[in-house]
Order: sequence, then structure tokens, then C-alpha cells
Amino acid sequence: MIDKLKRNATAMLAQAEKLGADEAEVRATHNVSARVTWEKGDFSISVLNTKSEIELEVHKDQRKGTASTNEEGDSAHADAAQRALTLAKYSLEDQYLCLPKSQAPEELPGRFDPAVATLPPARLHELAALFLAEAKREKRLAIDGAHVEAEVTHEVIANSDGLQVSDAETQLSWVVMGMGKTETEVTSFDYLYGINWGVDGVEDRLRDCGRELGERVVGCLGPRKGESYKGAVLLSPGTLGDLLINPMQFHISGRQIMDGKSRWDKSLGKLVSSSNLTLVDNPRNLQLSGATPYDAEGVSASRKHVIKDGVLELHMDSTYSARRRGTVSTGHAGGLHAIEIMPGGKSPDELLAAADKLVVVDRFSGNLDPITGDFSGIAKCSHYYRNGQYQHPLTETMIAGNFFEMLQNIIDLSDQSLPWCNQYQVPWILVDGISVSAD
Amino acid sequence: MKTQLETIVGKQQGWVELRYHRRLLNDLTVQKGRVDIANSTVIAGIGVRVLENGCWGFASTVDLSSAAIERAIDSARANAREVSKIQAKKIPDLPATELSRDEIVMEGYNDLLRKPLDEKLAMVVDMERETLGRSSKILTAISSYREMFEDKIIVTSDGASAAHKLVRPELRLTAIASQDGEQIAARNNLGVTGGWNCLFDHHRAQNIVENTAREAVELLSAPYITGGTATCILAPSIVGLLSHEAIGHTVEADFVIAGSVAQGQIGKRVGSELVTMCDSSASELGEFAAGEIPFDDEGVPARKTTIIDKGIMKSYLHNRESAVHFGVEPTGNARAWLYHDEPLIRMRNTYIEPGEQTLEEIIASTPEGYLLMGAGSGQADATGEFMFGSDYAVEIKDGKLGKKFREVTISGVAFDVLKSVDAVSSEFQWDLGSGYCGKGQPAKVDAGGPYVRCRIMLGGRQ
Repeated sequence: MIDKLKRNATAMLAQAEKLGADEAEVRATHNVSARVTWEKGDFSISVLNTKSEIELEVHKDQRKGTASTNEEGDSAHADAAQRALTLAKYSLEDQYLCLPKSQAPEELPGRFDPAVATLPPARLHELAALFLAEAKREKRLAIDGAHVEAEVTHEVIANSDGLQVSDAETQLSWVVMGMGKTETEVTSFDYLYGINWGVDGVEDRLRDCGRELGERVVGCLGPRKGESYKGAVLLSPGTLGDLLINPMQFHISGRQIMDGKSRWDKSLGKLVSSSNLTLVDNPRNLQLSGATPYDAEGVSASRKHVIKDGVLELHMDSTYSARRRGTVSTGHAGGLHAIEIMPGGKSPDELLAAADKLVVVDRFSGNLDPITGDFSGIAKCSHYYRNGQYQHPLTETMIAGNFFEMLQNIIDLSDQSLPWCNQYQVPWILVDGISVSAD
Repeated sequence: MKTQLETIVGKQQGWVELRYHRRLLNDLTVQKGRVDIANSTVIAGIGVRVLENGCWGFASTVDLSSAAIERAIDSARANAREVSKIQAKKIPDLPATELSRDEIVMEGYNDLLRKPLDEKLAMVVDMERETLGRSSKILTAISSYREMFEDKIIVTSDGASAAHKLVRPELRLTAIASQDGEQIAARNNLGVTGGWNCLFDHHRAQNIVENTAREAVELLSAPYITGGTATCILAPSIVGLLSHEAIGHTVEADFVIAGSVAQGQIGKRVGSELVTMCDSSASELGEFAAGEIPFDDEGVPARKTTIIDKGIMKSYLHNRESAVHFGVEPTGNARAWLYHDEPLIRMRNTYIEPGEQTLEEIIASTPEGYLLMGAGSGQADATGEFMFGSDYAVEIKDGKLGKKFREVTISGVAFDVLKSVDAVSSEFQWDLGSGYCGKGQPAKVDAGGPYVRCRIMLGGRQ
């Protein structure tokens, strides 16, 4: 498959050149996925999809146009190249347009399992049945939806400057969403998901996921309002994407810096958070779904500190933003890859006892403005503690604060950093100065 | 293509659905005087769904030859047979229902396809430049235009054979104002089903540059609101979001069966007598709503569904399968995002019907509260508890509007909020046409309504 994609990519580059492009970049992908879905209390559908796409970026007279198609054949590809050139013709001149030079990314083995690529449909259905059987052991868990999926993806990125990289990966992935339900009560919904690159260990992970969701939603039955206060809250790993990692990614982005939107444009080497925060982008962490040998334009991706002991160490750049800013690409076209936050020194019990009033936020349903850093939303699936003693699950309780202030107010982090749904590897984080509204 | 699909379906045994879908998506974004996005995407193929052994099987193909489509049918059948081994409850045969045989080209499709891309890009470039020039406090302006041309053909073995072509253009403008190291964004986004003129007839397109720039500058000095429960008048965009997120999702029949808070509520009071809420595939009360469809992705013709009538829940939203489950007619809510997606129960244009008072009268009769303007993103869950953002709030004291407060998050429990409604205005607007609903797959929807007064919780920072 890789050879076929390479031929398609080379032909598309030639097509773009023939139509007058000064330089061009192509990404060709092929994906086969099989999925079994659960809805309305039962298995509901079995799906097989084969998808392919070719994406083209052209530069002509320092103007950019992009196009893509999943239609096959020379004429469809020629049409895509023509559309990209047409858009470039009407686009504005940009003297900084550029493409990365040839790369030789270090291979990242461990993400392709032939057993997934050849997984019999019956085995996929068996895994799905096992997954749901475990979740259904908890009778008070009403499953709204779930699926198990097996995927094989091949990719080639090539450009007219000689870059050509390729990759193949397999994934078994799953998701389950549900709520606690009794005759008199329905809880907020909650969800869990995960991936495995191969078949080894997947049965245990599916069982764990199904069991864990049941425990989580049942723990939310019988919620009451908490108290309004301004003070400490304990953020679970599931909240850190919205409240910490996404806004941080915004402010370290070379693109936001060059556009004057980052507050951290002059903060390299300076304290931006409490000194107990250390955050790393590690694209070679195979426990995380963002593990990859290269970024979205084929530039090698490697482990880098983003924040070390509270000090900002990284502005992330693509080839384009690096040229605009007079620096070099950090291998971050498309953003950060696989985030790890280093653990702290406190046990979960010590963190729970660290404040007289404490909301433990398990899921955040709200908005965060990345520019101001202001956030506000509902503390979902959350729990209330007083003086380290558990009180009750919460309902109709909102939290509000500011990302920049919150970073300065990190009290402590839990002593374990675990992969959360294979998305981030992060601990629980105790922060101060958050407004809790429960009127 | 339609004849080819009819021929293939005619040779099949059992229930088969073929859906051809080709999308042309053009995206243009300008900021800081440069074109960030100038992209054109084509994605096309055929989705095949079969009902065999009482189970659904699905497969798709990008190869449009008859042989490839027949192979996809075989794959879908094999999938259905496989899942039937683990699916406990089998789906009964779908009863006969009215199915579309229309061929429709909706307003604006051909005109917009003919309009040159350079004119569209020039508009986006001008809009960014003009916004930036409105005030020295505007740090950045981002203008975007998107158009989505949709060609669909649905053929089923029980009689649907319909085709449509429609286009949905969208316009987005963001202004980021800056002062003393502080930055704040104001946004105006809109979308319609229709052509260029339909887009620029939308109320948000009127003076969009001036309004967006002014709002960003004004909000720079606006304070934060105090948290707590308050009397609020919700703007049409927020009423639309409330209708869609907090209530609409709970009445999607698949979610009802799974255990949403709307389960068992048909015939019961869920809102005040002033509340009548509908979901429609057409554009009642205002033109060119962005969720318009002439028929759904099962070929069921367009229709309006009254979900809540004067506060009493009347109907859920159905596809053909859930309609059988509940013993009712399908409501035309089966929708798929792309050819390789199976149809799910989705909303279209969701709204609360207007009342009789004017907005001025409602403000004048409010001793203390807020007028909440502009919907941000929102979420709701099975309990009906919802959260969404509002762009800004205007204080009301003794029946008069006062100072502005910056972005606020509002929350509540949907049916409690509906029961607290004590005033509904006569004005009506579609105002979520730039939005996309997420439920495993995206869906293009719209929502709106009148101004509505209710009690709601505000998330503050004090």
C-alpha cells in the first residue's frame, strides 16, 4: 500500500508542476476500518469502510492554494491540482511560504500489528461483546452508546523539495458513553475511551474500561448541590485537556506568537507557572495515541520539555511559522503530539485533605477563551469533600477561573501520572483560586 | 447515477439502501493580511445499508462502478449477518411509509457554483482589512467564508428514489481587541441554506464589520458578572441553543430509548404554557435556515415536528427504526454526514415559536436581570442539565438596559428553565446557522426563536 501511495504522491507532484506550481506538497492516505456499534441497549450496526484521500498544497508566485479529493483516477487528481492552482492564483502574496527540506525521521516501531490488519470480523464482534458484557455487569449503568473499531492506516507525505516520509499504523480503539440510572434518577453522562496499537492485552483493557465507567457513573447517583466558595479544587486527568493543555498549546504556538495573540511571546526562559509543574511533549510515548515519528508536514518529531519546573522552554513551530519568526521548525506542524505532566509528591488522600472545602472535578463541561484564559462551566460527575471527608456527588455546580492565574496557583500534583484514555499522561492537580457557584 | 442505483437495488433481495453523496467544500480564511486557508475539497462515494437477519449492516465504496457497489452490498450483508450473532433484539421489517421520489435543486446552488472564487476571496480579504481599520484597538481580524455543495441520491428497495442538490454558505468574522496587555474577542458568525444573496440578507450580515469591531472594543472595558441564579432574557441565538442542546438531544428517540430524561414524558408538562418547540426540515418563520433538507437520508420527506405544544411534550424525533419502536410515523430526522457514515437521528432546524409581547415590553416589565446576547458553544446531558456560553450580558434595572458584562457561562436544567418561562417575544430569528452539531458525526443544523425570559444560573468570577 505504501508503494501505491508513493506512486500517487509522485504523480500528483508532477501534475502540480505541469500545471505551473513553483513547489508542492502532497499527503496521501489510505484507511480501512471495521466497527461494531452499540446503541439503544443492544448492538446496532456493523460497519466496514475503505477510505483514501490525496491532499495537495501548491505555491505559485508566493501564493498558496490547497485541494484534496477522494475520487480516484488521473482526471480527479488533475482536477484537484487545478483547483489548488486556481485558489493560489487568487490568493494573497506571502513571501514566507516554504516547505520543509528532506527529512529522515527515526522510525517508531510498535504501532503496527499485522494481527489487527487481518483481524477476522468475528473476532472484532467477540471483543465488542466482551467489552459490553463487562460494562453491563453494573445494572445501574445505562449505556447510551459504545463501539469497538479496528483500523489500518497508511500514509505518505512528499514534497517537491525532496522530502518523502511514510508510516503505517494499526489501532484497536473503543469508546463507551453512559449514565447512572435508577427508577427515580438519571445522572450526568460520562464516557471513557482508549486505544491499543495491537491485539496483545486488549481484552483486559476493554474489561477495565467497561468496569470503570460503571463505577464512575454509579458514584454520581444521589447528587446534591455543594457550597459556593472561592478556593481549591482538585482537577482530574480528564479535565486537564480543556483547562490546561489546550490553552497552553495556544500560547506556545509560533503561529499565535507571530500574530500577536500569545501572552507568552516573550516568556521563554521565564516562570509561567508554579515551579511544581513540568510538562513534556513526548511523541515516542507509545502509551499515548499521539505517538508519531514526524509531524503533519513530515518533519521529525522528538521529545521536548514544554515547561520545566515552571519555566517555559518551548515555542512550537511549523516550517512556515519558524521562517516567519526567524527560527527553525520544532516538528510541531499540527500541534503537540503526546503530552506528559510529571507527577508530584502527594498521595490522593493527602490532596483530598489539603483544603477545608474541596470540589473534585471529574469532567468539565464549559468554555475557556484561550485569549483571555477565562473559563467557566459545570463541574460534571464531580464530588464534594470537607476536611478530607467525602460528602456527596454534586449537581448544578459551576466553576470559573483563569488559566494564567490557575497555573500560578498549582498547590500540588498527585504522585502518579497515568495515561488518561491514551490521550495524555497526567496526574491529578490541586489548584487554588477557583470560584465555585452552587446557588 | 440514480438509474444505475435503481437498477442495482432492483436486483437485490431484502431491504437495501444506497446513498450517493458528493460534497464540494471551499474554505477561505484571511487574517493579518494573509490567506491562511484557500482550500477546496471533494469527497464522494456511496454508502450501503442493509437490514438482514433483523440487523443493520453497512459498507461504503468510493468506486462508483456497479460491480464495486454490489461488492459493498455483499460486505454490508456479511456485516449484518455477523452482528446478528451478538445482537439480542432483532429489528422488525420496516413498515411502508411515505418516501420521496423528488429531484430537487434548491435555491442558490447553481448561482453560487457559477460565482467566481476570486469574488468570494476578495470579499473575505476586504472584510478582514475593513475590520482591522475600524479601531486602533483591533489587534487582529479573522474573516472566513465556507461553502458546502451537497449532491445526494437516495434509493431504497421499498420505494425511495430521490435526489437533491443544495448549498450551505457560511460567513465568520472575529475581531480581537487589545488594550494594556489585555485581549478580548468578539465574533459574528452566520450560515444559511441558499445562495450568496441569502447569506447577505441574514440579519447578522448587516453591518457585520462595524458591529464586530465595536463589540470587541466595548467588551475590553466590560466587567465580569456575579455568579448565581438570575432572571434573564435570552436572545434568539441562545433560545436556539437551549432548544437544540438542552432539549432537542434529549428527545432524539435513540437517546430516549437509552434513558434520557425525556423518557416517559410524552403527554406531560415540561414547560410553561408559553413554550411551543419544534424541529423542522424547512424554514418556518424565517427564510433559508441552515438545516434545511428536502428529505432525510432514509428518503423520508421533509416535515415539521412539534416536540412541545404549549408546555406539553408531544413527540420525539425519529428515524424509521425508532418510529417502529414507538408505533409512530418517522419524522424525517435520519441524517448522515458523509457517504461513509450511517444515518443517525439528528435535528434539523430547532426553535421555540414566537409569542405576542415585544422585546421592549419584556425589558420594561423586568425589574432586575440581564439580557443575554450571542450564543457560544454548548453542551447538555442526559439529565437535561446544560451549559453554554453567551457572548455578553446587558444589565436590566427597573425595566431599563444598563451596562455590559463580558462573556458569561449559563447553565440550568432544561425542563426547569422551560417551566420558568414567563415571557416570549414576537420577534423571531434563525441564528445558529454557522453551527455544527456533534454526535459521533457532525451535522449541519440551525436553531433560533424569539426572546424568552426565564430564570437561569450564571457562572461568574466573583
